[in-house]
Amino acid sequence: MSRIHEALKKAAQERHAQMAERSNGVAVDLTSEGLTHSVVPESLPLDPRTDAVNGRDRTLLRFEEFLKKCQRPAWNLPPGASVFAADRTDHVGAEKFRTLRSRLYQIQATRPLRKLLVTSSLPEEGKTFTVANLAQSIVRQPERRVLLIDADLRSSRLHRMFGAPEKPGLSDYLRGDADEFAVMQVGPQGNLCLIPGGDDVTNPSELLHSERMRQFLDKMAQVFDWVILDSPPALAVHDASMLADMCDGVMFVVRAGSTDFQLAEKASLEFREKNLLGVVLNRVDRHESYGTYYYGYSPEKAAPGEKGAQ
Amino acid sequence: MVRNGEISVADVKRILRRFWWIPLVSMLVLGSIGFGATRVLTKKYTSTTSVLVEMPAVSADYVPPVMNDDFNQRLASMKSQVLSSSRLQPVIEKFNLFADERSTVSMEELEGRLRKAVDVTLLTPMQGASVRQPPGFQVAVTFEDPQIAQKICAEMTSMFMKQNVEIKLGVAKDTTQFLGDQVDQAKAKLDEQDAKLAQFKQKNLGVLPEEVDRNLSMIATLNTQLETNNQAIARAQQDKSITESLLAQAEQNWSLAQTGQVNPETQEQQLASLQEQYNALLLRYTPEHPDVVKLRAQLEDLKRRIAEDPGTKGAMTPTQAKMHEPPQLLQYRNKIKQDDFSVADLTKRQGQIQQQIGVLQSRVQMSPMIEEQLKELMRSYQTAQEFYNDLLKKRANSSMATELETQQQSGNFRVLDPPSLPTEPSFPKLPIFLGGGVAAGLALALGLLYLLAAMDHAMYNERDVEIALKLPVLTMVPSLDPFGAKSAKNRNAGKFESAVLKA
Repeated sequence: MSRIHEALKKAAQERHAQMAERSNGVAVDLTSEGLTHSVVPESLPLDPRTDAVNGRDRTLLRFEEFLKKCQRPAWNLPPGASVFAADRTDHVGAEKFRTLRSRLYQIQATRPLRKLLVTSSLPEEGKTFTVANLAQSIVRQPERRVLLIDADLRSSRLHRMFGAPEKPGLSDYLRGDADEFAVMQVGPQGNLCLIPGGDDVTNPSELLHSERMRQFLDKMAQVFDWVILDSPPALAVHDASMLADMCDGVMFVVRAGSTDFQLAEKASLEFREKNLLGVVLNRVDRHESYGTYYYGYSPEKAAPGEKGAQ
Repeated sequence: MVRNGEISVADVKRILRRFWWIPLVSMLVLGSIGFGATRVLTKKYTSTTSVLVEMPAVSADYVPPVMNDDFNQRLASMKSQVLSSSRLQPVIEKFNLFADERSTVSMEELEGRLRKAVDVTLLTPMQGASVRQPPGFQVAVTFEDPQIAQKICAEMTSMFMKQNVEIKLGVAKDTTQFLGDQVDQAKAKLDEQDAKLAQFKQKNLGVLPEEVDRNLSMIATLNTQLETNNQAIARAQQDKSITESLLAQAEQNWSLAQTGQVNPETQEQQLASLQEQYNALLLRYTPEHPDVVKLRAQLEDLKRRIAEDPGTKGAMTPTQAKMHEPPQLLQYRNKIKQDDFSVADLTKRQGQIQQQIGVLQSRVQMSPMIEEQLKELMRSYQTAQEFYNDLLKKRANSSMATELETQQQSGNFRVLDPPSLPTEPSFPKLPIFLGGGVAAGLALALGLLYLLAAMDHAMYNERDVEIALKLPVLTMVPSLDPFGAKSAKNRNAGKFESAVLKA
């Protein structure tokens, strides 16, 4: 027993050392100039954090320094907005989002997947709720960084899930009225960032379909483990389809008991050729799911890494 | 989500969870309507009586019944006759039925109403009963007045019993009459066959099959006679030739005597010749044979003459010879004539016998053909006779059955219970109306629920998503209770809910 215990202890120490090294060494070309002019060096490696560890490019800023330039407004999370809230007695939702997180990691192991678009066929199916809670499920793991982007410039709501300011946001950045540091809000834990929708604009499709948006996403994908976009509904406007071209995968949200399967089928056809990963069935009746198996699951029984994260 | 009309257990459970109130409301409403109908609809009373079909008093082994038809058919026939317009109209008038409506409604319609009010049903036999025939039937009359219903029921029952008697007696009499006619016709045919047979036998007398043996024995007898006759002819011819030789010898001797020449050796030679013939006959016949006896007499006569006149051998004078022709010559000539007659007579007899034999042989040869014709006639005769006997037997049975029916009168039907006087209405029945309303409500609710399920195009679980979108389900987020937080009561939950749902 003592040998097994020592082996496990040693493996844990090695894993902890690797994570610490990775966290301290991550850096990317996040200079103000590089981002505002949307110029990506041609020599930028696929994983700039590796180069940052080696310290080849002095222009690369460390992630912590990048965060220092971002906004840190006070987030006033509304009650119950997160399934991971410490005061929630119902933990089935949290467990479902952990499942979703695991599925995404399994997909990521087989293909490049950092930029994730979350969409649905119609409004009010739970896209924003899914995006917010998926991000929280990821950042509850150590050394995981998530950037949330509210790409629904027509009706941005993602900031409400965190009680964050709506402006400045993505529309301001895409119009050139603000730089990336001005629109990016850093959460209390430091590994969850949010770009809200921003000011109302009259030409959201043009802005989202711009080269600036594409480059911005590519750069953010180099900085964050996950860049998750909350998009408009697919059947209402064409924005989601355009954004899907810029992302690595698309996740389709369906509201159980509400979404017409014919509409959902029609909307999903838009993304068949664009890395459609799967469906998140939202608001499932407890009788239809296996959630009852998780009754009795408590935060005290959760993994040590997750305890007290939020 | 219903696909291709298939609905799963999960779909049923979900629909019942969502619309559990629809069956309750539907059953409650329609059940109430059924209950209300029992209070509103006009009450009707049903009077019933059971009629038993009794077994015949005499076993069918002794008196076969005339009617072997199916009782169901007979009852149906009786029902159509009893419920005919000609029978129902007197009933309507007798009990003054539909008095208020007679002036406005046609009699045909009133008869139709009464016909509908009468229900005749067969009683089911007990399980394990060997006879599958129904033990009886039940007459039920439904009317608004219970006493009138009872009276109509009694009247209808008596009409059924009367009709049954009439039918059975009529059938028995008709059967007897029919069989009598058939017997007469069969008898005429039998007589005709009998006459044909007698005529045939008379026509073919002696050629009939039973006379073949007799003809054959007669042929054998005639053959024997023919052989005997042939022998007689041969013998007569032989006698004739002997007599002729004797006559020739005698004539020669007599002629020598007339010329004076004595021929002493002639008598000796004659004696030797006779002796030789005598010996020859003895070889063939017994000494008592007439020919032998006759020749012996001639031989002795010749010996006696030689002995009496040995010196006068050849000493007779020609004068003596001329004067006296010996009588022996006459005898010989007579004998020859007699032999000729005998041969002619025997020859004639031979021809007759041969003709008889030919006739008999032709009869024997014709016998097979005649026998075949006779058999055919006999078959027809026997068939006609059997048919006649069978009809005689049936007519006797039918007569007995008719007599039995006449004696039994209406004994075949017996009323088990007199028509009842109903105290409770048979229509509308509260349990049926209430249960029917509830059942209809349940059926309506099930139809509505199925319609709702068919119209529901939403997806509820992983199976629905995989069937409709053919995409994997990454996770299923349950419907979260926005008030699941510990201090939910103190928070603005409504605001949160709207925010989450809109998101």
